[in-house]
Amino acid sequence: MKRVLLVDDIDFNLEFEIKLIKNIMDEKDLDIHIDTATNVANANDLIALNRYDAMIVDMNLPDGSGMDIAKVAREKQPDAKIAALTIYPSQYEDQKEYFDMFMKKPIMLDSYKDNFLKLLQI
Amino acid sequence: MHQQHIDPLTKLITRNYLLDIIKTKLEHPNVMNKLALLYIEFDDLDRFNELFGYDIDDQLLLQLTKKIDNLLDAESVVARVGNYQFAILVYHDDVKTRSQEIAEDIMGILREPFCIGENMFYVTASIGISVLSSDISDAYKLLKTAENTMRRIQKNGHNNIAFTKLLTDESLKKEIELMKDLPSAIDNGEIFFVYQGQYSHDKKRFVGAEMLTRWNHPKYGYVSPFIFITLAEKSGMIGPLTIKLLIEASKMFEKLEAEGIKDFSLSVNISPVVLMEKSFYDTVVFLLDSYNLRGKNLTFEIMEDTVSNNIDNFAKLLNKIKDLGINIAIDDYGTGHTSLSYLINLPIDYIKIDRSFVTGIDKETKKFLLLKSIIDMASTLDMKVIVEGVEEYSEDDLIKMFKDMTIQGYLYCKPIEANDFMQKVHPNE
Repeated sequence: MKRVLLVDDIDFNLEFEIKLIKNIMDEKDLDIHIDTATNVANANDLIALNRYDAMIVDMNLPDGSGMDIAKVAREKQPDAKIAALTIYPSQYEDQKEYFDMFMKKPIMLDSYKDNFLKLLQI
Repeated sequence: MHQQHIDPLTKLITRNYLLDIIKTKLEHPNVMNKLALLYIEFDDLDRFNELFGYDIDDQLLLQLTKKIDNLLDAESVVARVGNYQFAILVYHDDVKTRSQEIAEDIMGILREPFCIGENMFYVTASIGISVLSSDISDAYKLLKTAENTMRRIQKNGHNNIAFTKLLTDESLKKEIELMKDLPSAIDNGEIFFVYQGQYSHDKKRFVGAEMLTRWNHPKYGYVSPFIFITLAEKSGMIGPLTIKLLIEASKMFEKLEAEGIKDFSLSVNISPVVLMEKSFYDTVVFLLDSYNLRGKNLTFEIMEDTVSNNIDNFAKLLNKIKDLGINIAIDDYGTGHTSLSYLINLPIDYIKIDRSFVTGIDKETKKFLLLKSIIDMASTLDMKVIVEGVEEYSEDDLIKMFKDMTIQGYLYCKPIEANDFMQKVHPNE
């Protein structure tokens, strides 16, 4: 079983991502456990507690940036794959040491599914 | 003159040679605002060939060339720039007035039929006109903007004349800024949805609502939906916006059900750009599977022009959507300029009669009879009717005479936010 962490402060987006991932699980017959966080502090707590295969992190959070999560995650869980979810992927292109992938917002069905599978190396 | 500069059929100059002539003219001082280009496309000539045999178009083009040539003075140059497209370069001190005159004269010529053999043909045309200015300052741009203006006319129903209007620097800047802000506005809720109730006379209650999109921009305030929907279509954001709209509909269904309101439908506008996206159908299936959405309570509103111009492209898709239980409504019925055959060839559940057929039915008998005939036709074809733009009690009284009418108009409900709408449709209200 894989375990992923989704971070976004907008419930609408988290719900949409969860439903998309469930759809992928059905299609590919996968077992994935999903955790969610809505801010940096909450995300970093979860990273301290659990081991993740992948994290998809919104860059614009109420108590900081997705970068604050990626830095902690890289140090504590160097094997976890990290994707930045952002409206402006080009702004973060020089942050490749922290992110394995840049995913575009607003979320589109096909590209999110493709990228999610790539991120989990499935 | 070199042979490749001349069109073999009409003996008019070609597109490239016309561009050369414009470039030469541009080298003269003071041509600014004195040079204009008319871009003319004749409609349906290719279809005449299918119907009456090969060559009809050639013969029509020859007659057209002759008649247009007779109209022009020595200062104007006419070229054949495409199969059924001509361009006329006009030089005049008052070039705007002169261009308008020429365009009107051409429309005048076309009012007379063209005789070929035993047949008479009426030809229509769309004419776009660009005037050389500081914004349109090179040959290619002069031709291209006139062509684009002509295409815009065609989109709005052919057979007309229009001048190219350029965006001022300020409005262009605003447009670029809005386009940049669109993705975050969709994400952060600056773009939101309002509801305009649809009232059933027979059931004496609201039976549905159309969801409309609003954008309250932090710098520009409320942006006209016409502007930002067009920008969303241009920038690929209309897909995500439509997804958000459908998910919002699912949330509204949850609220309605929690209040005991069932048998209620929500209508959403589906842009032609979205309909043409390959992934649209799969996206709809995903949303129906994953959210609280049932096809039978959902209506996709599609503009009349979109479907009537693309029956072959859309028939299959709309049938698949219909198979998901989703209703199809034709929006702004009666504003398109096309044949009605699409009404039988597509799976249409509702027609929404445009306000222009409704306003004034209480004052003009002919208007009322026209509305009645549309309602009769819809009923014959087993389609339901939603009447838009009802604003007067005297109009509403007349509509009450028909059975099974649904009304969408300010008289019953303005577009209002979700919470206000819940109050309005609540059975206890």
